[in-house]
Order: sequence, then structure tokens, then C-alpha cells
Amino acid sequence: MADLIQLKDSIVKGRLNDAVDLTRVALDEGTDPQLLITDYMITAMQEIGQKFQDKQAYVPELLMAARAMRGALNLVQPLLVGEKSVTIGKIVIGTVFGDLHDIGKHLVASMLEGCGFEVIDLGVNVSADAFVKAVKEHDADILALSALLTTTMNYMKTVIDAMDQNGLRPKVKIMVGGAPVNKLFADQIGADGYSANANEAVHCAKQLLNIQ
Amino acid sequence: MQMPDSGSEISIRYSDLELSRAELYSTLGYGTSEPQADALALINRLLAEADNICRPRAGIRILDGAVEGPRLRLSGNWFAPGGIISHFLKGCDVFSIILATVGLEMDEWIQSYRVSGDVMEAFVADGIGSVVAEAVVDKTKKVLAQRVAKEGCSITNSYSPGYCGWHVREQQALFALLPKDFCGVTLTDSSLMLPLKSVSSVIGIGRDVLSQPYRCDVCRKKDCFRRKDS
Repeated sequence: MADLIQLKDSIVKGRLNDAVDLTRVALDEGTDPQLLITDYMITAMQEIGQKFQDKQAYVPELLMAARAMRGALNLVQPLLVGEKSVTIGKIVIGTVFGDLHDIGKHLVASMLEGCGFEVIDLGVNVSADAFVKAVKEHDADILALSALLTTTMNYMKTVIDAMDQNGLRPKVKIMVGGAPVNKLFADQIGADGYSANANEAVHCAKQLLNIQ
Repeated sequence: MQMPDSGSEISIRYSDLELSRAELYSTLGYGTSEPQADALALINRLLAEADNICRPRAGIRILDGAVEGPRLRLSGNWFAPGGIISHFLKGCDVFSIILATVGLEMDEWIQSYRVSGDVMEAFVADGIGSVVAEAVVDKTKKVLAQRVAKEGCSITNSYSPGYCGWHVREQQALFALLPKDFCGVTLTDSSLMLPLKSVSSVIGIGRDVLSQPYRCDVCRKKDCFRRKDS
């Protein structure tokens, strides 16, 4: 019988192969996929997230956990097609036009996904039109914008204006992040939230959607 | 004294670089700690790959110039690096622009991990790229220091647009002083260097100058992502 506590621990410790093997055994034994996600996988990500917040874990450990979570989730998600949604919110994310940096955005996307959000990653150098199209198409709850340069961060305002002009602003929360961005800038351009790192981004997203 | 020139590439190989494990671990967010076994195995595997792939390039141009208040003049062109950087370049009347890059091959290698979907591999490959880029800068500075030492001169630390309050858009004017496609590095309209893991810097040259370490405590940019807690 699959040891589900061990599954949770293997995600917390970032052991990809163990997480995948234990998930496979659990599914073969008929364990409810939804239960695996909500009671063990997301719980594991919350635990490593808290350790990071408490400075008891480092960024790579957060990522190793997200990686193990992704591996396990890949086995579970196909079984949930047509069933009730496993996501706690839908997020469109991308690095704004003119900027090609994506490692920070990639980390944020992974953590959000690991913590139960559905993430649509548009990549880098994304135009305001492309963000508008994706938010409409996916009926996103949150739009997350990233920039690493002082020359590109102002484009975040262009994207927010475009959301407004297309009537999407009341429907979508907007959060921003990236090295030159701070809370003051986020407030100035009319964003709803700002986070300084991937773990904070999860808290920010949950807060924006009133998720406990 | 060094005479102004039109800029030329230096010969540099990956095996010439002094890569610091401690710097890599710090860049990856470990602080002064070391990675555990699983992460260490991944880091070692990617370092071995980088060893085979990386073709670094670097170049140096020497120019005349001067510092006036918070402004810097290089070969007749004015820059606004701000008070902090100008302070450290004060007293020099010869300067160097250096350009250092991990090269296109390594940038493409990092990109391949970005699109592979494995976030940890992407993160480590990106961190290795950053540390290699800094190592190329260090090697280039050593070459420059040796060159000017023959004239009885020494060099300051290196200062780049984007740091210590020097606006990154001044990369455009800085690149205008370099030969076209110097070291294979190009600049986008948003002042982003391609390959991404590239560094451009200005260095002061003089008989009585010192290479001062970066001092985050004197910089007003409190939200700088390179800021060290002090």
C-alpha cells in the first residue's frame, strides 16, 4: 500500500523519482486523484513554502519540491479530465514586451502551479495585445507580469491600460514582480499586488482571490 | 600612459576562467550553505555540460575621458552614471569599456533548459551562466590590469549601466563607442544585451587609482537585486 505521508515528504524533500513512484502506486491502488492533490501534494508545497518563508529552506529546495510536485501531478492530472476543477484559480503570466528575462517568472509560475493554480505561461517579450487575448481566452482570474529592466518595467502600465480599455480590468486581478519593481511602483501603475519572490507570489495570488 | 584605441577582442577560453563554487552556490540562493546530494548531482552534471559548450568572448576599448561631478565623458560623449560611480572613477583621464559574454552557445544551452519545463535545471543553468559571465569579466579585468601595469598604471573596479543608479538606457550610447557586433554582442531597443549573459562595464585607468570593492551600503538603490545585506 502506498505511503501517502511519504509521498508528501518526498515532495517536501524534492525527491522527484520517489514522488513519481509513490503517486503511481497510489493511483494503481485506486486512490482518489483529487485527494492526492489536495491532501498531500498541495499540503507538501505549503509546507516547503512555509519553511522558505521561515528561512529554513533555500530557493533551490523550493524548486526541487516544485519539480517533484510537477512530476507527480503529470500522472494525476490526465485522470481528472471532465471532473471538477483541481485548480484554485487561473493565472496568465508573462514577461512584458522588450524583455527576454524569464527565470524569475519561471520560478513564480512553477510555485503557483505547485500550490494549486492553473498557470498559462505566455513566455517572454509579450505584447499588451497578447496579454489581453490570453486573459479573454482563458477567462483568467489573475494576470501576473514580470520585468527585469528599468527600460521595460513601464510597459506593465501599458498592459494594465490595455486591460482597462478592453473592459477586462474589473474581472482580472493584476500582480507584478521583477528585480526593478517594488510595492510603490506596483501601486503607482495601478496593479493589485506585488511580490518580491516566488513564495510571496503564491501568498499574493491567494490573497487577491480571497483564498485561505 | 595607455593610448586610446578602437577596441579589440582578447583571446579567452572557458578553461582560463576561475569559477567559484561558493559564488555559484550564493547565486543559486544557498547563501553560505552547500547544496544537498540531489541538488549537488544536478549542479555537477550541468557544470560538466557547460564546460563542453561555453565559448566565452571578451573585448577591451581604451578611451580618453574625464569625470565632472556626477557626469562622465568618454571620447567626447557624456554619460550620467551618478554620484556613486563618478566618485570611484574620479581622477582618471583614461578609461576602458570592457564587454564580456558567455557566448551564443552557452546562451542557447541555457535557453534549452528554460523551455524543457524542468524548473530546477533551468534555474541552475541560468545561475551557472551568471557566474560564468562574471568570471569572464574578472578575466578581462586581469588582462586589462596586466596591460596597463606596463605603463605603471592600475585600474578601478568595473561599473555598468543598470547598477548604482546608472540608468540602463545609457547602454545605447556606450555600445555606440564599440565596434559593430563587438564580441558577437548586440543590444535591443530596450537596452538588453544579447546573448543575455553578457556584461558591459566602464573601468577607470590611472597611476593612483584603486579597485574599490562594491559597497552596497553607500548605494541608495535599496531594492537592487544584487544588494548584499550589510
